[in-house]
Amino acid sequence: MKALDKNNAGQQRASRSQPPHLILFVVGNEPNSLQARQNMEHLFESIDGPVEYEIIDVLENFQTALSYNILATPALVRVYPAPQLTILGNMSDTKRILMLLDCQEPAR
Amino acid sequence: MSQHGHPKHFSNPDRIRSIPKVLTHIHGLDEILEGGLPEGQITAVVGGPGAGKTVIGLEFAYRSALDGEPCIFASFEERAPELRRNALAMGWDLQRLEDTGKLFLIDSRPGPDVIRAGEYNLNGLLAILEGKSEAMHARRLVIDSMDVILRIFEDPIRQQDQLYQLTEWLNKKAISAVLTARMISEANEFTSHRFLEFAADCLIKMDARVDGQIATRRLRVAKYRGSSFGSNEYPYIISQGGLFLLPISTMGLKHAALREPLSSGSPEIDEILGGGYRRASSILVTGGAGTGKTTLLSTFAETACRRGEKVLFVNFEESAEAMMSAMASINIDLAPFLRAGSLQMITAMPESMGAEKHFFHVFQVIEKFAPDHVLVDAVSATLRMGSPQAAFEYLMRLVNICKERGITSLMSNQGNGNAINMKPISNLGISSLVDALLLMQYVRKDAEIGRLLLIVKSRGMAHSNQYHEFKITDQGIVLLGPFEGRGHPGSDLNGEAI
Repeated sequence: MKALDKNNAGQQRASRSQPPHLILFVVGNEPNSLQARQNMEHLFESIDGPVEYEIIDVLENFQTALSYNILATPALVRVYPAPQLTILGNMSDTKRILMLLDCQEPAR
Repeated sequence: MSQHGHPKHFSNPDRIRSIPKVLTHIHGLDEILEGGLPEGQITAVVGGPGAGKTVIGLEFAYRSALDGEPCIFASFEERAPELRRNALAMGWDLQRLEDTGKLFLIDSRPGPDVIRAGEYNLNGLLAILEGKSEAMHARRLVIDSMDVILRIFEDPIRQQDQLYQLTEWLNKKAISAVLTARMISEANEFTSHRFLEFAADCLIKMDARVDGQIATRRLRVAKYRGSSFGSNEYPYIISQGGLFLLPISTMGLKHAALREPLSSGSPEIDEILGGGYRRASSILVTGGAGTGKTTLLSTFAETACRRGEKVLFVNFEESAEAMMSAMASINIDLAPFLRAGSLQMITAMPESMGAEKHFFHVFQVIEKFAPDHVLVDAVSATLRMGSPQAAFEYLMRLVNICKERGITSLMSNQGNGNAINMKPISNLGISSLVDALLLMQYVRKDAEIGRLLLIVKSRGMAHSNQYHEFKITDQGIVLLGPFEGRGHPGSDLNGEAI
């Protein structure tokens, strides 16, 4: 897996006032959720610059999940930058996720 | 009376012990389900757009909460504020129940584009439902609709698999669940919807269609594991207060007993009736056009109103003004009672609305006005509301409603006059439905036309079996005595045998 052009991405991010804010919704220790956690860690190796990242376990905190309209899990919500978008899955498609997180619009 | 406005107990003394059920308190539905939905099991409600799936689901949630049974309504079709607004239009205050923790609306509208990056499943939703149902002690859940959830999964196998996860969870937690879904397309052999129908313990199908140019809605219980149920299609409407089903199955169980004889308005007619019409009975007056049926009904109405009782007059034939002025010309004065409010008239052309809508309108007036007597002129007009079946059902329901409430029903029927040959309605057995049957007809007497009145039957009364001649004068109906002439009863105005 290759990371995207780090310099360009880094400049883009530096020009934003805030670091990206991501929330990963998981459900306990079920396989997809464990995979997702791992894959996200892996993904962060390809991102430089600060990222605001939190993991929410729906079993422990369902209220927040509700407020983000989470139905299927695992789900990664990009809260910032706008627009908010939700990606479903165990995040195995790291390349795609990086693209999605770096763009303003979801890639098609 | 429960706060739903229905009798609190569903009584079916002949019912063998069956599975535990939860009452829906949706009008007519619990009768068809013979006690309600299966407790701790899954009910699927399937139907096309506009059939009313959301309404039935929401009503179940609302009435559960009203009953003190916490319920979660997971809405994937409409946003919560919209739901609350629509509910308010039906007289349901959802917010109040939400504030007391009896009702919880989850509104989640997953975006149209699902961005997928790997494997995912419904465990998140289940975890949310788990958390919320535990927090609220909710044992009831409605999901509207399953289509939206299943759409986020790509292939039918995945969908079924996830559906299975959900149903497993619901059964494990013994939650009484209502899951709505759109009607399956016949093209697909084995879709997730088929699986839902298979997995559900109770399956209700709702259908909005056009029948004889009139929009109508029908509900059918397609299956109910572990229970018998009313298996026919039942018409329903959606109106103030929610869903309103019109089942026939339990008719007769709750009828009030017939009571004291009431005057017809004419002492002579009372005599041949053996005393009068019995209060809370159902009386049908059949006869050809112009034989005097409206006069007979109005005579009774005037007398009842004079006694201080309330009369509801359902008029399919003409306007209130036209009828009252015609009656006034023969000295039957209903105007003061109309003004005072003890007489209410409903006039409507049967073509203007379907049988169910019209019946519901009458039903609402009966509920609100609480008349002592309901008069209908003429029930034969209901044949113009759709099919003969619709007409018969209208009649059945009306008589049933009146009998349950101890209301006397006096109805006219335009028929050809021969007692044995009441084609328009008797083919469907209406004469066995009523307690008393009167016949009015013309008779040709040599050079003139006479009118005859015959009491064909009157349950529990020692009535006359003879034809009686009568006239309609400017003082109303006047009996002239038993018919002894040489005319031919059973002839119509043209002298033809009927």
